Amino acid sequence: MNPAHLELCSSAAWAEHIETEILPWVFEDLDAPEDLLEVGPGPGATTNLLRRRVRHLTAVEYDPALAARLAARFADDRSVEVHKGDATDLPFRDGRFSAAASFTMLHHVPSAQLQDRLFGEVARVLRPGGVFFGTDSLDGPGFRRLHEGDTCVPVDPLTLGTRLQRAGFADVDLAVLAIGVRFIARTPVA
Amino acid sequence: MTIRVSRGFRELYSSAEFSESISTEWMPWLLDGLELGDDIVDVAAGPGVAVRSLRTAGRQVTVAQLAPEFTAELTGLFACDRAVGVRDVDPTCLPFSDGHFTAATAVLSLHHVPSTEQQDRALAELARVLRPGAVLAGLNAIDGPHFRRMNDDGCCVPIDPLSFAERLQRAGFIDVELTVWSFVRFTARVPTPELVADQDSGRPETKR
Repeated sequence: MNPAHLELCSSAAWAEHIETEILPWVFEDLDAPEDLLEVGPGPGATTNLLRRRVRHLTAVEYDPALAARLAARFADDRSVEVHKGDATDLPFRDGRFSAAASFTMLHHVPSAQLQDRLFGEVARVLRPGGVFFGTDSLDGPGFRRLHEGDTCVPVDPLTLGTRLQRAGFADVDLAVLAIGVRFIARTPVA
Repeated sequence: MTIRVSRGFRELYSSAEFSESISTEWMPWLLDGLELGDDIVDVAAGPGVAVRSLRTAGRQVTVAQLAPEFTAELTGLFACDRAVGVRDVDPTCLPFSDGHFTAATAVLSLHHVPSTEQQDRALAELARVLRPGAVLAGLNAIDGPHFRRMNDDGCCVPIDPLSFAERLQRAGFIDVELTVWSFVRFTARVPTPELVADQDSGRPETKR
């Protein structure tokens, strides 16, 4: 992430956007889960809000510096567990979680193939009937300016449903607003 | 049908920053690679932000204005330009003959048509007034917090990009292409008679 982008994702305005627009949009069609895996929390704006809605949250962050900061930030919260790890190769057994989430991070995974592998890994660590939910931003001129010099592979909302199905999700619900694409996908029930 | 543009959208469309962004960022993206021909209709609901980008030498641009409150100003703006004409229209019943235009554009205007059914009739009307093989191209705004703030009188019906391709096909278009950015770019064509004959005889389409 370039410094300006990291600053945005760490800002109070971004946290407010997550709290007032993104999370309400997701949870208007989904009950908050008990035991949640969050992949790619970055500086933790979503983690900080999600931890209040769930009983236990396991965060997996690829960037070692961000993972360390995140672990320090939530050191006093026993319901949050932070791992430095790779979401395309998750360090968890099959069917470990009932729910998984990723917010505005898929475009940081550097290729469509790796994004698909991430979807497959999330499907693997979810139990049958588990739910994977989240959002990502839409491509556009402003989005591209923000990501100058970054890894940035935007997710096309028109093909995301098929990609999630190919990765093993059965029941995929997509919605598009100007603030992003939202997905709620479930692994098959046995 | 009389369409009024809400205060929020009116302010947006009239701002210099918005016109600049449409002209320099969004219209080049929309028009890239398209052959529009020399006689086009631009469906507008507002001050005609697309017209300057569409106006090129040897091309007639007919602005089909959905919101009559903008007609006088727009007509005045192009009073000395015989290649631009402005007409008030009901989009569900366009005052043009079948197969008249070489292309149609709709830039941030379809969401002002106040119901999904009327939007679908408007799309079918656009298919009717286009020549065989001609293209419809446009930009749609996407629903969201910003859209809802501007839609302060609740008259607009945002267009869901996830179902729009199917709606264009139902209206008679083929070769539908959508790109979802912070606006949605769409292009679609009306079939040529040969292609229609091919489809009727059950031969597979060569392109979708």
